Amino acid sequence: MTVERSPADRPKRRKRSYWRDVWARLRRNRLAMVALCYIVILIVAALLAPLLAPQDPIVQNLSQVREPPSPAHPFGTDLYGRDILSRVLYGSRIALMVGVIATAVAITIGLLLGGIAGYYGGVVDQCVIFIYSIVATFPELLFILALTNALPPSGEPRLFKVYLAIGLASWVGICRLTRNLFRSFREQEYVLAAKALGAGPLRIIFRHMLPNMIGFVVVAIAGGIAGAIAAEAGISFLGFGVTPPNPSWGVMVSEGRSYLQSAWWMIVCPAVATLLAVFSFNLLADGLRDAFDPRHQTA
Amino acid sequence: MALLEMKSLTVDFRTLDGALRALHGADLTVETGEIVGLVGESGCGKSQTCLSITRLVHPSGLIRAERLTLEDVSLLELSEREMRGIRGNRISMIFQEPMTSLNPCITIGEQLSEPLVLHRGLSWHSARDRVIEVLGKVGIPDPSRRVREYPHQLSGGMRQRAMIAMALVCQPRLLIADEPTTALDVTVQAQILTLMKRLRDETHAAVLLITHNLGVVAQVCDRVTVMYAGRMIESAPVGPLFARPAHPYTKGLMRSVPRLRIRSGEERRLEAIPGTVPNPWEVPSGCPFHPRCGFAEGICQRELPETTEPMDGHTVACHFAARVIEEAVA
Repeated sequence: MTVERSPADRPKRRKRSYWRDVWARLRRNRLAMVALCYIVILIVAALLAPLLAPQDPIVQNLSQVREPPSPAHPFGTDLYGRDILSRVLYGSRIALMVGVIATAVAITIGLLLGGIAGYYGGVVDQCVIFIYSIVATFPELLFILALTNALPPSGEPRLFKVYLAIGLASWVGICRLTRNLFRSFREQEYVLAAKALGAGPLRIIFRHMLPNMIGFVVVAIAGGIAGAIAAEAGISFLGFGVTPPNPSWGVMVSEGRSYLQSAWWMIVCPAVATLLAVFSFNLLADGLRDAFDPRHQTA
Repeated sequence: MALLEMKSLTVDFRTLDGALRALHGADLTVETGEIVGLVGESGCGKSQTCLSITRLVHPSGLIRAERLTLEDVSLLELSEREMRGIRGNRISMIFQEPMTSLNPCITIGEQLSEPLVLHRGLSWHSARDRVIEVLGKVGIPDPSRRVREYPHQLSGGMRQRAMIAMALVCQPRLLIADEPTTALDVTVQAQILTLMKRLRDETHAAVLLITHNLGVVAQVCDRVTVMYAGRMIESAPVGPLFARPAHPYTKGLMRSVPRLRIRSGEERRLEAIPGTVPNPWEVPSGCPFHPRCGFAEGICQRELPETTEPMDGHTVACHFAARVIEEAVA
């Protein structure tokens, strides 16, 4: 005897969109999820800094210099009597801004040049390779420093020039990746099929080829933000980036470096903040890389 | 005036070892509403012929022709922009692998809307209704749900139907199908072929069907052109071609098709054509088929045979066409 199965009994065919699949795989990665939570906290902290910060991050109060952590100043105060917690909170704004702006600049340039080079090949490709090889010749730090000084002065002078310079110095990786991927996409039949439909080159590059590397782009964004935050902290520490009194984490570490023995909190707090932020974005990038790769499904 | 006229089409590829000629003066005509089969072994230039019509051969290839026209418009004289206006609009193509010729990241609906957006200036939204209509026409069940799905959610046969629908949304005059059924199951093959025939009857589009399967040719084509080593060697309506092949190569192709029924008393082995397709770098002198040909004599090594028309509408390029036909009739 056969039993007619009602549709409800039938084993359900799992049906999820691409992004839900990625999310499901990412959720199984504990480390990446912890990193993601921390990033969310960081973003909330940056947005709500004026509400959360106990004191103004810039105004000095020379009656309370270099006080150790206490209930009034959980992270202590610095050598001008400013509350370090407040400065670290406001510093997350600078860190995230540099991450977002620099990465946006780098990804835009990288995808554009890489896409065009990979799609057209030939002389165009050679030119793009030539350009990025020149950029890659400079040590990144030097390149950023040179750019910061070379860029024309604009509205909010130093800060945005630093963001822009970091972006302009870090597009080579994504450009090279895009170029190589596009060279392989170019031979795919769906590209020929798109041409046979009458689609032009730009349409094929951006509508047909780019979506096929969306995973790589997302991973590159997360990794790029980590790199940009580290780069900003680095050059600000050296005194060539964001300038005091702006509460950049790099600036704070730099200000505290002479007092490591007597006032360790001045250096430890901003340093840990930088570390955790860079670490989280890197962990998230790695988690995303695995999540976008369906072969990691069972891992 | 034929819909598509091609005369003396050559394609040369620039390679590291010099120019490589893939097509040696191919001739082809396709009339409105006709299904023309293009037959030959792998590497004989079938696909390059098709890609030349839409000027989509690899960028290193140079296309030249005495005449290459669609409705009297010379395709080789158009600018790239004008040519894009023809592709997907007046001439559409269907490719062999429905698995790889649909973009995995774009929904069926969006991919099928693209020609309408490009050529008819429709918005994505208004294109959708037409797409659903065409999907229904090619036999995809529940098209309004399918338009939201991605290619991997469709079976191979359904994907090929979707490809056909994509080629048809703009109602092209000429549909070029490059081995549309090769990658499919036999049962699905038959469905797709029937579909193509029905669509031809409904839309009066002409179809240029590339295949290496003579069964497919017999089933759907009105006329057949046989290619060998970058040349058209025989062209005829389907009936006469199967009844009286005039080229030894065509004849060999027919003998190498397995048959279920063999006349009583007949002992018949499945024959193969000896040898292999010549390497395009080393095309034999004279008639390129002579090293594999049972009819070949001295002249075949020296002279390239002229194309003759031994019967009405039946052209062939062979020195001994008359003898081949005679033998077929006998």
